[in-house]
Amino acid sequence: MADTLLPDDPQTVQRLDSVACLLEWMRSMPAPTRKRFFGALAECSDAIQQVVVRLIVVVKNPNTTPVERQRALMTIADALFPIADENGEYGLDLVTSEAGAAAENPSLAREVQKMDTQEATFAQRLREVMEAKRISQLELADRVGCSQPAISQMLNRNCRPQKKTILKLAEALNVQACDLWPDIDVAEMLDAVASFQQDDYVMTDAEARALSDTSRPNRPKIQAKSLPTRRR
Amino acid sequence: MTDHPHQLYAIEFTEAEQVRLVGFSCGDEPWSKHVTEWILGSDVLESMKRGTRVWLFETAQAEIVGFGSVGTSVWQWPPPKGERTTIVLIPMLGIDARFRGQPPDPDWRYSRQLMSHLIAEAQRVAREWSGDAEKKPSWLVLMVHQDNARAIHFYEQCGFELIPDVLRRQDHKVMKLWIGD
Ligand SMILES: CC(C)(COP(=O)(O)OP(=O)(O)OC[C@H]1O[C@@H](n2cnc3c(N)ncnc32)[C@H](O)[C@@H]1OP(=O)(O)O)[C@@H](O)C(=O)NCCC(=O)NCCS
Repeated sequence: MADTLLPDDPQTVQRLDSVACLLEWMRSMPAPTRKRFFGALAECSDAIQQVVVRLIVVVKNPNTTPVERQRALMTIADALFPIADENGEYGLDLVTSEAGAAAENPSLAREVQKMDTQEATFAQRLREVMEAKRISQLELADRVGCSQPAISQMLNRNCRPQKKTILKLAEALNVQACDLWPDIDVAEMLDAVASFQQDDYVMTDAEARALSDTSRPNRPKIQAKSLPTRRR
Repeated sequence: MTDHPHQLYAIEFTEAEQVRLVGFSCGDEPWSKHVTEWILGSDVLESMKRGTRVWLFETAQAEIVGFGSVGTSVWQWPPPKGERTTIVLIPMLGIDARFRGQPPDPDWRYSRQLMSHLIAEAQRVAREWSGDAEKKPSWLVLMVHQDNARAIHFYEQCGFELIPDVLRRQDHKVMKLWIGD
């Protein structure tokens, strides 16, 4: 009986985890800070809220390096407090030390909303078409022969659909593929890149010939040197 | 000592970095759009799950000039040999269209600084190889659209050679560079 109260799809569990992180973090703040933080978060668009929640997971992850943590905090400050208040303050006490760099780019938060990828456009359009046609995730999953969490992953931009999946979705929803994914060629090229990295690829004879010929090794014509790393 | 004004810096890419890439674009040619999409979307994260390292390259003023990646893949020789071999590869790299051909000074050209870093990191993968000595990787490979003349020219300047008679997805060439001893 209790089982039904517990979410079982990994997507939901992950989201609850990140919300738990957020609450834990907020609890650690002094009350006035928490109020301001919560106020700022509530005013944000969905897109920014999502980014913030994701970044909080980064902040709370014990495996995160100090540099990554600092950068995530900076981005959170930047996203929540894009415009300096009358005192010229950018962030919260928690993040003020890291917020200096955020001042360099106060419009970032607004731009995050426009985060303009084909993947984001696809997720949004898929959601819209599903709503317009009143098709549930489960029903769509059934029609294209995938799992409901797979649909949920795509709607949440955690996973890019392959070209063949876009085509199946379009057919199942009775729309054009380009009504879902703006440029289908881009999806196909990304598939090609992913398959280039696939393990167990069997080389063609021409590839095998070229890579087994070690008699004429073409070495770099430029000096190979790692660039200096830098902390922001 | 101060660095040269055109010195690039490498920053190890993480998911948290993605929001800094708003507005980043490698151009609108048919072979450039997916490069931007790769670093802004899920593909870079998928590739990193498979062990790929990714860097952002930025100027002293923290402007993001481009990105690059180095990973490995296990390929199989065709039958009957069929054995597996580890290949070092550059899954993706790109320079923001605003920084193409910049700066004019070839010694400080961003594209070359970026590739210099990627080759050094690929050589490190080979050097620090801990598997069987005879299976130590000795090639760095990448894939490039056959009509992307600018990129092919650039890769050749760096020492890469086109592998003849190979096309992936009908229109992509594969190039190789020796990173062995
Ligand atoms: C490929 C890329 C990284 C190269 O960086 P870049 O700054 O443009 O490269 P450079 O200008 O230093 O070098 C390009 C060279 O090709 C030459 N070139 C330019 N257009 C050319 C063309 N149409 N045909 C042949 N050569 C060309 C340039 O003159 C230059 O040579 P030079 O240094 O002797 O003058 C960059 O253009 C890019 O990111 N492009 C879009 C994304 C992409 O294609 N990524 C690669 C995916 S595999």
